Amino acid sequence: MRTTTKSKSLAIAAVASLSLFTAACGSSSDDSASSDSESSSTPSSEAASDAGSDLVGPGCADYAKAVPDGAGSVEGMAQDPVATAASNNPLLKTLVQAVSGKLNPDVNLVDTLNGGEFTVFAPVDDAFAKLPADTVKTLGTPEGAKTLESVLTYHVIPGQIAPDEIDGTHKTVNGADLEVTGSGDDIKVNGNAAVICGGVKTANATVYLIDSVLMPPAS
Amino acid sequence: MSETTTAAPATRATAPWWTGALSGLLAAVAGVALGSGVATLLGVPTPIESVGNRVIDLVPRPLKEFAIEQFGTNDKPVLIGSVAATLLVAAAVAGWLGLRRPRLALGITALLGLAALVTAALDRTSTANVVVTVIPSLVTLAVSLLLLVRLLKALELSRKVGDETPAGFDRRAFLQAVLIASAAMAIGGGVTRFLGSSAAKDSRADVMLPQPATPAPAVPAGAQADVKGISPYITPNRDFYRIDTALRVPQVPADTFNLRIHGMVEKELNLSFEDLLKERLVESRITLTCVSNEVGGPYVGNAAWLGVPVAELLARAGVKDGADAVKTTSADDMTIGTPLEALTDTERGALIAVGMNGEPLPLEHGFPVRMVVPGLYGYVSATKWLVDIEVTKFSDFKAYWTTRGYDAEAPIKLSSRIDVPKAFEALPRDNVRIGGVAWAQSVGIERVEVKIDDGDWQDVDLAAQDNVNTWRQWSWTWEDATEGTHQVTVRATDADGTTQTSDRVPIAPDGSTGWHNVRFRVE
Repeated sequence: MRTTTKSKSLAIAAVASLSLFTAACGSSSDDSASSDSESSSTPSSEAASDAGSDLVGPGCADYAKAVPDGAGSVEGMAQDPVATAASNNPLLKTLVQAVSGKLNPDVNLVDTLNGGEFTVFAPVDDAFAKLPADTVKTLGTPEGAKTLESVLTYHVIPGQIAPDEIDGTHKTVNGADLEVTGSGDDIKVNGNAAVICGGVKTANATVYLIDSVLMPPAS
Repeated sequence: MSETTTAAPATRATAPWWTGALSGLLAAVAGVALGSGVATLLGVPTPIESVGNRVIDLVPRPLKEFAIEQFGTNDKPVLIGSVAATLLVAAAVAGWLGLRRPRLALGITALLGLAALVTAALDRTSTANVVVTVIPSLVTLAVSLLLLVRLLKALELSRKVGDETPAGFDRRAFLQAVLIASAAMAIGGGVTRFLGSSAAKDSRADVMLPQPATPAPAVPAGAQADVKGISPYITPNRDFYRIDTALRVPQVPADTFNLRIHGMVEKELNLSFEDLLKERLVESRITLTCVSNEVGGPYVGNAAWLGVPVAELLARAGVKDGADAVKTTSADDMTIGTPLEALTDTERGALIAVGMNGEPLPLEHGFPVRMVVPGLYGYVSATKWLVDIEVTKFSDFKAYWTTRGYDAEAPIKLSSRIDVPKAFEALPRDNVRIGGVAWAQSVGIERVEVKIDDGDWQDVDLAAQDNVNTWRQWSWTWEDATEGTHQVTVRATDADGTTQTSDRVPIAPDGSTGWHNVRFRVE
């Protein structure tokens, strides 16, 4: 052969166009319906694979490390309704007791929270620990039921709000407003409660873990 | 490469071996690509699809099982990939041989093309007639032969008159032929890639469901409760809940469809989709429920199903003594185990369903065929994309969900749900309308009660019952409501007199229980 470079370029051109062979082979069987679902340990319709893609807050990486898989992980919570997801989250034990009638038997919001689209600001256990012991005790009494419900519903906003739209004033289920400011690792609610990790998806609600319990304004 | 020098060559000199191999490859690939393009434009299977489907049929069972074990749901692509790889190797070898024996190469190519033609003629996935279906393979055959001839001709070593030493091959002609082949590949591949659509979707568009031999009785007047915001009595297909393990919706064209009934039966049955449509079809309304439905959850729906009673097909196959289970398999190899007696029970009315609310099953709800069994959770009964029914014993297998901690026997638990008011909804004091659904498949709902806060249980108005396998709607007005935040709780009693338990249990291992409640406001 006289010119090897010319032969080489022939070979390259031919091989490059062979890649279209795979197009001919693979295309017709690639269609799928628009809703895909994830293989999982419970039958589920949620696509949990990108549950962690929109998170904000300084504590998300630590949380993922602490709970990398299972029902309490970011992906696991995406498949359950919010109260069930919270019950699997190791940081929300006190909150779960409060919403499920364990703190006050007259206050059980589990079914209601599972039954609509919401944005939930979820105080972690340390947040509840910051409250005076007396306050928590009162909230557990029959007289304190109304207050407890008022406090809990002050953490819930109708509709799911993503981190890129969370800033601003929002009317809570309680009826009173709260205000969210900041972005990224520095988001605050009412100026003092910081978002630890936010934008966590559950089957029906978007959750923002916060470091303080929000108090509704005195009416 | 060095020029041949002193000794006269013992055999005829040829262009380098790789030019021959390349020619074979290019001719084959270009032929297949153009054939695929033509197939896409005609709406028929491509040559690779036809050959692939046929090969999968012919692969011996041990090899198939090996592939499934090793590659799981990728077994099909791996098998088809092997077919393609074999073709490429054969084409390369043919081309290489063609340097010395061009007619041998053409013969091999013609044989491969003929094989593609035959598989196309036998391909049942095609929705067109045989003549149209074989056109793409004819194109593949013709294009491959023509290109190979051209390429090999260009590779023939020219001899100057009177010169013992052969000169090189005609590079310009070879380059030209290569470019033509590449263009053919690009065009064919592009058309296939960008204009291709799913054979399953197309075949669904062509399905004409017959009228049922046994239509469902009309929905009784008053089955839909009069409460604004309550669920529609019949769940529309687009809103019907979807829970499954399919990573991608299996694409199963109705035309190649085959339902195999085998195992502990006297006679194995094989039914095509057309065979199923020709059976005595029954239409019945059945409410399905998923075991992962939490209290008050959305994974329940009611539809009119059209299909063949499973009991009839099992009776035709002749179930042998000793069998107690049926293992059903879907097109993506998901397995479900069902108690045999639930399927042979003619009163229960389990169906091999081909229609949902008047249309062929939507792709994501199991097209073309699925199983529907009243009274059992979906995970032990509602196999979608159903392709295989094996009569067997529970002791001989473990289905997908039972391997993962769910019970083998799973009757749907008596349940009820409040649809209105919605969570935290505000209702006007002069019209506090409350409503929802209750279900006790195979038994029927007899009574539904609600209570406000810690008050007494009150009977609600039950909507008309359709049949014992559907949910039943209920409604109630809270007269003399007081303003403020309240909670409504619901419980149902079935026709056997059993009232729902208030105990909360999680969805695993056999479904949730508990009284559903909703907090709402009266203003």
